[in-house]
Amino acid sequence: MKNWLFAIFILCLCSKQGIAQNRTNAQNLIFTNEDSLHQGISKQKTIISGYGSAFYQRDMVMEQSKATLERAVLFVGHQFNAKISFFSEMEIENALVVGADEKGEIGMEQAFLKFNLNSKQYLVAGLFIPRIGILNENHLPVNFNGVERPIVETFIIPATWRELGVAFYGKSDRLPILYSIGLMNGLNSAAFEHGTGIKDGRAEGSNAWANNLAISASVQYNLNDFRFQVSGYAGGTVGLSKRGADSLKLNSGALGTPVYLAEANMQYNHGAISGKLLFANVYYPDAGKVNVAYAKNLAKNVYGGYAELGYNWLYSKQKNSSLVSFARFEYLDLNASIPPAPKGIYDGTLKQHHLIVGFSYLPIPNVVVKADVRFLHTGPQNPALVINPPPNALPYKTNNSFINLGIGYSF
Amino acid sequence: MITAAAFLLPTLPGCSPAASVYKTSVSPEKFISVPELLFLKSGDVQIIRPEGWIYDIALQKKDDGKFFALLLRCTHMDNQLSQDSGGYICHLHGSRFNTNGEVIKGPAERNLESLPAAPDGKGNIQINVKNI
Repeated sequence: MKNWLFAIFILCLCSKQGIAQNRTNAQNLIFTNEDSLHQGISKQKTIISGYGSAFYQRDMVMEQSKATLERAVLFVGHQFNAKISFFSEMEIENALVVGADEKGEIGMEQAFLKFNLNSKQYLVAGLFIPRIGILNENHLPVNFNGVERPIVETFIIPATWRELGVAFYGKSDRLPILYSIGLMNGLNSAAFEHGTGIKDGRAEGSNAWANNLAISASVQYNLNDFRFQVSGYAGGTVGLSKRGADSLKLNSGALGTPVYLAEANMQYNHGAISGKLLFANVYYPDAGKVNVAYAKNLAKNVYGGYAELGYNWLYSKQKNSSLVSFARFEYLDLNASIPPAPKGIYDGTLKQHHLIVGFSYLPIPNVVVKADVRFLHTGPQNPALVINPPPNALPYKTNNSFINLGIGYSF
Repeated sequence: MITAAAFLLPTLPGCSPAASVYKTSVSPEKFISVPELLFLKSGDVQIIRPEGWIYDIALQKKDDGKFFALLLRCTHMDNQLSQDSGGYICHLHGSRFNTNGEVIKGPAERNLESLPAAPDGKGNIQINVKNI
C-alpha cells in the first residue's frame, strides 16, 4: 500500500513538473493576466497586438495602377511591474524585403522603456516617436481619414519620425494641459534629398551619428471640443567629428548646422463633426553650405498646412460603426526659400496643392475601409532640372489625380 | 492663428477649462471618498487621483443623478488615459473612449473598466476599488 501511495506521489510530482516544462517562459508570462495598481506589487504581462494597411492606387496621368500591402506592424509590449514597461513596434512595408524588384522595408518603429513616475508623469528611453504634429504619435490607419497619410505630415513633418533618446511626458493638475520634452540624436544632412524636406535625414534608430543632438517639445491644451497643440524641434544636422565637418566647411557639434521645425494644430470633435487644422514650418539656415558640401539642392525653408472636415453619418444611428465622409485641402511648398544660385535651384513642382475627398467606413472601431480621390496641382517644372526632356519622357503635367482604395486594421 | 485661438477661447463664457484634479487617498476598506459638492450639474466629470496610484479615475454625474466611475487605464496596453473632447484618449497608439468608457477608436477593443460608485448619504460619493 505504501509503495502504491509513493508511486502515485511520484507520478503527481512528475506530471506537475511535466506541465511546467511543457509551457515556455513566454507562455507563462502571457497566461498571467493580473496586475496591480499599487507600487511594486504586480505580475508581469506581455501583450501582442498590431496594425496594418493595404491599398490600391491609380495614377490617372501616368495611367499606372499599383497595389501593395503598405505596412504590417507588430506591437509587443511587456509590463515588468507597475512602474516599468516596454513597448515596441516592428514594421514590414510592402510585404517583401528581399526577392522582389522593388524592395520593401523592415524596421523598428518604436522600442522604448517607459518609467511611470506617478499617474501624471512618465519617462521614456529608447527609440520613440516625439510628439510633433497630429499623425506622428497617432498614425494607425483607423485614426486618420484618407488612404494616404496627409502629405504635409509625410514630407514637412516626417511621418512616424522616430529617433533614439529620452523624453519626459506629463499633464497638469490645474489645467487640461499635456506637455512633453525630448532629447534625441540629430538628423543627418548628408542624407537629405531634394524634394523630401528633412525626411531622409532620419536615422530611425539605426547607427545614428550622435555628435549632433536635437530637442523637441510640445504643449497640448484640451478645451471642451477642441484640442490645441504647439510643438517645436531644434537639432544639429552634422554628426561628423569636427575634423570631418571642417573639411566640408560645415559646423559640427550638438546643434551645429541647425534645423528648426515649428508646428501648431487644432482638432475639433463634436458629435458627428470633426475638423483638423495644422501648419508646420521648417527652417534650415545653412542649406546653402550643405548644398555645396554634398552637391545637393536643399531648400532653406519649407512649409505646409492642411484643413480637414469630416462628418460621421452613423453617429446617432450606430454605436460601434462610423461612416465618415471628409474633405482635406493641403498646401505645401518644399522649396519656399532656396539658397541663391548656384547653391540652390528652384523647382516649381515642389509647390503643391492637394485636395482629397473620400470616405472612411469603420464597421467596428478597429477596422476601416477607405476610398478617396486626390487631386494634385503643382507648379511648372524647371527645365534646368530636367535630365530627360520630352519627347524622350512624357511632358510634365501640373495637374493629376489619384484614385485610392484601402483597408486598415488595428488591435 | 491657431495659437491665438488657444489663448483667447478660455476667455469666452462657457469655454473655461475643466475643474482641477481631486487628490485623495484610498481607505483601508478599499473605498475612495469624493465630496459630492464637486459636482454642480449632471454631466460634470471629476478626475480623481488616488495617492500612490498610476492611473486616475474619472467620476461622472449622470443625468439621472447617479454616479459613474471609470478607471483611466487603456484596455490595449495599460497606458494612462487623458481627457479629450468627448471622452478619453490614449497617446500611445491613439485609442479613444467616450464618456461612458466605450471604445470609439482602436486599437483598444475592450471598454474601460467601470467602478461601483454611489452617494453615502453624508455628502460624499464612495467609489469601490476592492476589485482593482
